[in-house]
Amino acid sequence: MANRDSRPEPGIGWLLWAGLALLLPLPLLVFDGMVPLVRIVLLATVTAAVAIREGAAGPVQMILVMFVAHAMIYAAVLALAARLASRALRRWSGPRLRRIVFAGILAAAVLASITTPYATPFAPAPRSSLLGVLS
Amino acid sequence: MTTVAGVVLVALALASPAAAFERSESRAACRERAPLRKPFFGDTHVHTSYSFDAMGQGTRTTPRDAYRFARGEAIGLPPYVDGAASNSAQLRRPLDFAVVTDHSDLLGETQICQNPDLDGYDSLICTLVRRWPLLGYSLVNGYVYSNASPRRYSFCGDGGRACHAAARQPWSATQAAAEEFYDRTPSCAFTTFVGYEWTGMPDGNNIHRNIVFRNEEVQAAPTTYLETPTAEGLWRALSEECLDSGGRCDAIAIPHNSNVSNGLMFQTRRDDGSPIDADDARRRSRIETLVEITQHKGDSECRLNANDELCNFETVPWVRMMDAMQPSLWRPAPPRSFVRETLASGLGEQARVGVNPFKLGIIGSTDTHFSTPGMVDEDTHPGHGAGTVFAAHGIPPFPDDPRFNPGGLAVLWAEENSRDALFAAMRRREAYGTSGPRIVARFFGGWDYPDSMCDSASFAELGYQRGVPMGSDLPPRGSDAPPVFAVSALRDPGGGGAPSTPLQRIQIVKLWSAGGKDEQRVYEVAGTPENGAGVDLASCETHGAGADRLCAVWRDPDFDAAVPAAYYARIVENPSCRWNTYACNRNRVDCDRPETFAGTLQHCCDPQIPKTIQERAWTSPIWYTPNPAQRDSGQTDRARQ
Repeated sequence: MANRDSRPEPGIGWLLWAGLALLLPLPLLVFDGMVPLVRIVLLATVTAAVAIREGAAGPVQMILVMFVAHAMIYAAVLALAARLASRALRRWSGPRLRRIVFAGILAAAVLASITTPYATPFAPAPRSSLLGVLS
Repeated sequence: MTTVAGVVLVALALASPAAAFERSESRAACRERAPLRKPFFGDTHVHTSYSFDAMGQGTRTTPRDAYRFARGEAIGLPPYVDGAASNSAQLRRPLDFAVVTDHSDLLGETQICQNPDLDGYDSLICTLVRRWPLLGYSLVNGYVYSNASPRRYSFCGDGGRACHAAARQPWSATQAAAEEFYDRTPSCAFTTFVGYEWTGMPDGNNIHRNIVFRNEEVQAAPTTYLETPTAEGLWRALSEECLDSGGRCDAIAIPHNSNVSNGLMFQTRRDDGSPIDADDARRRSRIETLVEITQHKGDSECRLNANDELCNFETVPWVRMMDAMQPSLWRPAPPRSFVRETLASGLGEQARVGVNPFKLGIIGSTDTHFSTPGMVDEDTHPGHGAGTVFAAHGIPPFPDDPRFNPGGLAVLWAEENSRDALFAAMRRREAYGTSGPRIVARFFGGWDYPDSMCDSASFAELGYQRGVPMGSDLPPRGSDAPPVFAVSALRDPGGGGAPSTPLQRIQIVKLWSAGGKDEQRVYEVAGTPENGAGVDLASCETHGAGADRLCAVWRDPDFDAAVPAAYYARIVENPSCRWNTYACNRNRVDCDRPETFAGTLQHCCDPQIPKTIQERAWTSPIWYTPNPAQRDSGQTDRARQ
């Protein structure tokens, strides 16, 4: 049985993972993008919809595989990062920590919404804000 | 005085080429007429926003803009901000003719996705194309073009009806633009042709053809790869809907980029897998009289080989365009992936079936996807789009894929600048291609040209009088002497800021087929590669000796009267800076200082990318056929079966 002190704070890991998935720019190979995981999931979803509606002919299948692979790998890497971070934060456990983490994510989201930290090769503009990558 | 003028006119008439053109349209007679023909420079491969791939990567200009550009006006280039172009381009020297050849495939889809009044505008695909242009481009372009069994999107409706209907507007607009910009006045300043590109790409293997119509009488709708997925089907459609329709409709098809066809561009088998026969070969050569030897996406003259170092020119290392980003798939190109070996193969096929299916004249063009025909200058090259560089976000400092190039020009020898005269030149293959410069090249073949011909003021008169021009069959042999070829080249004079580089040498390439084996040999006939010419990479200043004119009268020392052969000339300039060197200098890249070459400017310091280029021209071949029955009776004007 693990020592209680070594266990991460319940919920903090998930909160961190969600924050990273929503905000952290990640490299999108081949197309030279830097976008958060949610954007990659969005691209994969749209491409999957095309494959289902029209068939996966030509490059559709390849591009879908690329997006899904990106999404799965990054989801796993972010989960690991979130878990490690929550372990590092365990000594400040409690509702206060959750509030601090939440506030930090909120602040980062505001910052990402008023600047253009993302390189979005697929969008009409080369750089986007958080609102841009979620739209 | 009148008598002298009369004598001159009679002499010119006697020396003039026998095959004049027939007028198939109503127009004013041209004020200027050159009985011994003039070279007219143009571009037969031009895409505008009517092409899905051009629209998808940010091009907003139309066929009207393309013709405006060809005539010398400035037009906008992407990116567009609030509808206004952020860049512009303008030719230093206008063209004499141009053909807009938008992709016939996706012509309707491109309209539907941009016009909210059309059904299908709100479809998933169109929404995606507008919302995420590069993703839309990446998914849609390959979905249709690179598919062995292409089919239309569901929003096109049953039998593709909605997309067929939507394609009528751009097809009409293409014809209207060609008509509007065709100079039918006696000045004959500029000629347009109605055209389109049939975009066959089974499994990513490029078998594209550009279709050029002789006059305003054209197909009701362009043939598409979607409905007609083989070249054989395309020829059949052109025959039924144009050449044999009983009207004035006439057309040719110009294959391009055999270098990325994976060997499928010039097949010797029918669609059903059986070998072609004489009728097939005749049908093919009736429609395919020219081949585009060079363009933006690479040169197709010859494969890299130890015996001809000049084949190392604007080559791409992949055999299919879709393999460009996957070096693990790069492999040697199959036979007939290049024009030279196809010309040789045609001689072998002629021996087998009695007719040469690959009797191809040569031209160059750009394949611009920016509506910029003739934009070939190395020093100002902004790329050509075509999916190689996504321009919708901006033209990057290193503006193109480093393995691509600005493309070339088509040159036609004709009596005047009118559709009929130029089309007749394309039909009889009196044409040549350049990699960009406006070199003037003459190439004649005969049996008794005098050695002094180059010194004669009557070079062209003698050429026509005693022999044939490029694109023709040698006349019947009168003696045991070998054939004589007279080749002359004038340096591009430049002007308007365009560069003028001296000529370095002329070569004659001989092709023959013996014992089932295709052979080739390159002969140096004028100038020398050892002229000490070079270029300063920092300033792009050229130096060393070179020629304003090169000329030679050459006899084939290895002539075998029993063996069919083809001969073409290659004219080569002194080295000059390639477009990437200009781009790197413009951006002050210093390969010793990494901070000066971020992003794609890293290509500047890639030793694999050539820094210089030897621009060139390739003439159409002259064929020698021992058996008179197999000699081309001469497609002098209209194709006849």
